[in-house]
Amino acid sequence: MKILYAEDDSDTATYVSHGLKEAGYQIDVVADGKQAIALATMHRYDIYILDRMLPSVDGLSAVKSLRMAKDTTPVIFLSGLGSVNNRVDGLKAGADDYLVKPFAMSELLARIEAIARRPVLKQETTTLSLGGVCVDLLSREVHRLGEKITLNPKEFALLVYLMQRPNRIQTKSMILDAIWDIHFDPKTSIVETHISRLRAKIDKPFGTQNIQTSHGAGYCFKA
Amino acid sequence: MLRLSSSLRFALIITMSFVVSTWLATYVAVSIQSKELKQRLFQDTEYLARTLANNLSNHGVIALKKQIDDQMSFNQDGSILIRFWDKQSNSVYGTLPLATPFSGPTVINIPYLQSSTENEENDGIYYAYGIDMPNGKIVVARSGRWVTDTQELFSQSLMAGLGCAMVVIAMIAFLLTQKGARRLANIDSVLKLIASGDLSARCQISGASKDELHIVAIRINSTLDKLEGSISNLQQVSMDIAHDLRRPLTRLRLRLEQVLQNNGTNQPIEDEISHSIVELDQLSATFDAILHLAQIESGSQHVVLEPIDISALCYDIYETFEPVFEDSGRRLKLSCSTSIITINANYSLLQQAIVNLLENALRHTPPGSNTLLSLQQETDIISIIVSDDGPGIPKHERENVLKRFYQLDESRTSDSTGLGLSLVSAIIHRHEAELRLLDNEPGLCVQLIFSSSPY
Repeated sequence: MKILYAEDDSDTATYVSHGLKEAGYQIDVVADGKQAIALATMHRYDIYILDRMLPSVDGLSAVKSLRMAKDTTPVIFLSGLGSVNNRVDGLKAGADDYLVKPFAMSELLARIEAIARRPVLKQETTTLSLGGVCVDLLSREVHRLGEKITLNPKEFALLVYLMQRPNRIQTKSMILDAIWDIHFDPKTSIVETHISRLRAKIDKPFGTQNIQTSHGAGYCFKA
Repeated sequence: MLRLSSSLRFALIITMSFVVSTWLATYVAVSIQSKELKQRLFQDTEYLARTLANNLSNHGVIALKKQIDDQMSFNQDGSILIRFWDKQSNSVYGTLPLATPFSGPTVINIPYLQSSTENEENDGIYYAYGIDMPNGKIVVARSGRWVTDTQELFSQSLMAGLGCAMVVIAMIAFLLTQKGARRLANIDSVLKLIASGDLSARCQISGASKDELHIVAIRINSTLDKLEGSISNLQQVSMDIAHDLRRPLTRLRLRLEQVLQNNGTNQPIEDEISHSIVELDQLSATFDAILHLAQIESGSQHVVLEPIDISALCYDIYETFEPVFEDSGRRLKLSCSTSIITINANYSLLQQAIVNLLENALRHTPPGSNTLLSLQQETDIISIIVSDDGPGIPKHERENVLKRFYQLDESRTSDSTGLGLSLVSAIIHRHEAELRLLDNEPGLCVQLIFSSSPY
């Protein structure tokens, strides 16, 4: 998979591109917005990762002009501006995700994964069946080995979210964002608590380990 | 300088326009009056001429000459001159130095007249009337000096009045503009002070006249209030950063130095490094919190308020936190009606405020404590209340806990920025709602009070 990465701080660029290469991505690094647009029009990439503050053409304008040119390649913004309004501006301009600096490499990798293999949510899908867990999205019922498992709404939403992205690490902030609509970093272990509740109902009674913790990175549903 | 020049200029302009308009009025009045006076003079001369002609036809030449003499004796200053041409004796009589007689009204010029040499004001203009009789001709002339005199008198008196009025008007204009100029000078001096760095300077607001200057002064003051607010906010942020980021930075530096020193001594460095990363994350969280707080407080970011269902929000937060409380050995309860209660608020900010309060309860109450999240509606007052039965906050400390980085227990817990309640306070302030810290006997009761606005 090919990634175009625009970052004007050379140290950050070196670290991030190193991390991305280690994760098996091909990567082109540019230092300003103009070069990013030029490369984007010349080559085909799978993802653009753009810093928001770039010389010559800033990230926001770069995304806007790419989108105007009907370029639908997914964009992840990296930015020091982290308020809700900044996020909204970035997403409105056409970005697919927004990551606030400083970020953990694992967070960026998880988000690239999420975007690169964004689940195709078929409207007609009414059941999920993975690793022995069956979820009926209409009746909101969960079964395992023919046994009905009662989940509260948040646990159900969490399970569905993870099952729709099997084998892919979902970070804490991605989960908070998706399930609780929380865009700040809470001081308490909301995600941990709910994951452990969910695990106690889905995995523990059956001796399975579908819901896995990737230490320091996040959680994923192993099929 | 500004004061003097602008008010003087204004006074001058007002006075000048007054002078010009009054002078015009005077000119018109004088010319109308002089026309009228000239007509009168002609009438007078005609009347006298006719009287003399009557005398001539009724009593003869002798009587006429006597009457002329009488007239002349009354008017030795040359204001009336008469000449009679006797056809029978072909001689002339009288004082008017005129060679050829005429009939009807005529203006004549007599440049030099002996009888009036002492009268320097005589301009030689005479208004004359001649009558042609069978036995002679009579011309009576009256000096125009009277008209000129009257005109002069008239304009002199007008000018004197004009002069007085001019002085009065100039003074009034000067005083009036000086008042405005003084206020302008006040604004000017305030702006100078601001430019020199004294942000506390404010314009004087006079309650008397609510004119444009008044509005401008009020506007300048409110702009300065905002400016001062954001500057002090900025200073606060810089101080906060210096205050609260230095300590973890120092810790981090020492830790990394340690790692460097131990390098090569076969001591595992993974632990140290992962601790450093935690420390760094904490640092970045504090930094974010400081900026977030500053943005909310300064109003630098537009906060969109929209009708949100507060009971749904409370239920959502309760559902999220109930397991967290339970796992920590505490209890969270919800008291909230199921009906929809809407208030005008910003969803994420209000969510963060309530979450902060619950996290505070988690952090500052001992295990086994109960926390209640409740939503109350009384007519148009909606209160979100987070109350616990923990140690509470002593009355004298309640103001302080809203301050940045203030923590009751001196030992700072590493996971707390000390900004939680400040942030709640700023968010509530931004919503124009009220934050109350009360005694729950025992424990703390925090009330967020919104007055629902009609929409």
